[in-house]
Amino acid sequence: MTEYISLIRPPTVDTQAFWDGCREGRLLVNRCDGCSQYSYFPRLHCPFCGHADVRPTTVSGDGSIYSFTTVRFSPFGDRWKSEVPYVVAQVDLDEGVRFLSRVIAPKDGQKIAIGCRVRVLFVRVLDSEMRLPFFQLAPPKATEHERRLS
Amino acid sequence: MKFPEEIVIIGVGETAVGKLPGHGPTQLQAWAALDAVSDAGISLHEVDGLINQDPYSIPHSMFALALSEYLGIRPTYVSSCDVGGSVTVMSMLQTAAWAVMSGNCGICLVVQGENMATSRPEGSSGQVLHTHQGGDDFKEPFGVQGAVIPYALVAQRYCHETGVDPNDFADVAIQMRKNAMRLRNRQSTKPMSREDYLRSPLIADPLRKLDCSLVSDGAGAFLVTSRRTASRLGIRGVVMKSFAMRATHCSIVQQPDISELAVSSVASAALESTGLGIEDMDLFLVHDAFTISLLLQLEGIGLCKPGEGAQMFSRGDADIDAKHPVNPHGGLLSQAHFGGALHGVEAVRQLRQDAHGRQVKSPRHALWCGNGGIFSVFGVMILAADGL
Repeated sequence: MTEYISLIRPPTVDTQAFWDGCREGRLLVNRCDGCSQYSYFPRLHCPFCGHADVRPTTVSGDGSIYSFTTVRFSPFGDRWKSEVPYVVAQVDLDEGVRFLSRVIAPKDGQKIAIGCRVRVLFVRVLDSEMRLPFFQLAPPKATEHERRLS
Repeated sequence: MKFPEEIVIIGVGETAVGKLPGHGPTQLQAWAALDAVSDAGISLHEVDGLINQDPYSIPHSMFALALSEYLGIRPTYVSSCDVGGSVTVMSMLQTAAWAVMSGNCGICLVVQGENMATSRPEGSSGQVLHTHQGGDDFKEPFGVQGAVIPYALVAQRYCHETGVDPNDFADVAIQMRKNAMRLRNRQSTKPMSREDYLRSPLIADPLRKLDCSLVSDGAGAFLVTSRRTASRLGIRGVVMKSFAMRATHCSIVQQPDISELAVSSVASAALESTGLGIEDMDLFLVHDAFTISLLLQLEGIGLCKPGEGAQMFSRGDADIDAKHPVNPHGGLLSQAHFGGALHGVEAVRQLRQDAHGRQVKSPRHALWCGNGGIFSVFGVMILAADGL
């Protein structure tokens, strides 16, 4: 059984909102009231302008793969061996932040590649209310021909 | 960035490397320290400053005091440091220079090392750090811990941007192993062929086991003083000409684009302050935690164009008798990795023309490029054989 819960640290004042959002299936990224930039990971201030005007904001969950790797060993010992192999990716969210996460294996034969469009998918952690924001490949766009037919 | 008064390294020391049961960070650091003292030909009690690295594998408190006590000295300047990777060593050398220049001590010991190999729990892989690190909350739940997964992400992106085939990383690994085979003090035991490299299992694509550094027990040490003191002692030292550093981030969670990494600006700053150019460098010591590390840094410092680093190795241009010797000691990939001290030790040995069996021909200047974290912090130090 893969044990995730022990890898999720107790929330701190700056991360509480993010993890609460995950539990509810919402991807929250801080946005600064002052300079409007999104920043991740969450802090109590904006790392761009330095002001403490950040507000956790629901984002679309859409992005593109900046890089990825297939992990072929367990970094967490025997209890994680059943996860291997798995794909870790840096996803550039459309809002302009780089998000480290997992990409779940595509079922329809699509290949994971840099530049692929992805969408967030909240995955429930075993024996817990916690959910983790993983990503899946966005369905391939309908071609113009297919759209005209439907 | 340029030291205003001539600061010299008058002695270097190193332990054996590899698996050294029964040796903790104290024993290893003391071993390297005493080796440096012997190398300089001074007595232990002439050392009145001590700066050492705070170990990752078994964190200690007040480790500069612990080592001073163990050695039996009562220094007027002490400090411990952990900046990241080999930049820790460089930063300690800079601090030692400041302590000497301000008169807080006369001869300062700088020492880095720990038992990375024998401190690992059974069944673990890579370097195991028993410390919290930046971004952990947003790494571990996603299956990311340690260095190889983040470095694989960077390597994959590098290949995408440059069109380099990851199989070409083989030439980097093979050259480092060839270099290490000339040493007596090394952890790797046999030469590496291209077939060995390609058979080496993928750990996190595109990185194979042979793209990754060793994990070792060991330590390296330096003795830093002013030219005035060195002359008084009748010792000629290797000159620390300049040092520059920059930190951009800590963890893969905040990883910038490759073009935003600090390596280029740091190398320019270190060189400019000496009035020297990259073409004046006879020797390059580059922190090689992974094969991708060498490519990114040699390209970043301007020795070759982006995407052309691997060709430098495949042409043999990085060998000890070639255009741009890189890590004649085989580096972290093939000599040992417990941190970056031995790159600095090798620079000194080469500039003193003391590097038996692997001597680069009459080097005058060495460029030492270090990094830590996930290319999170870079340091560049220029060392010279001035006065030798």
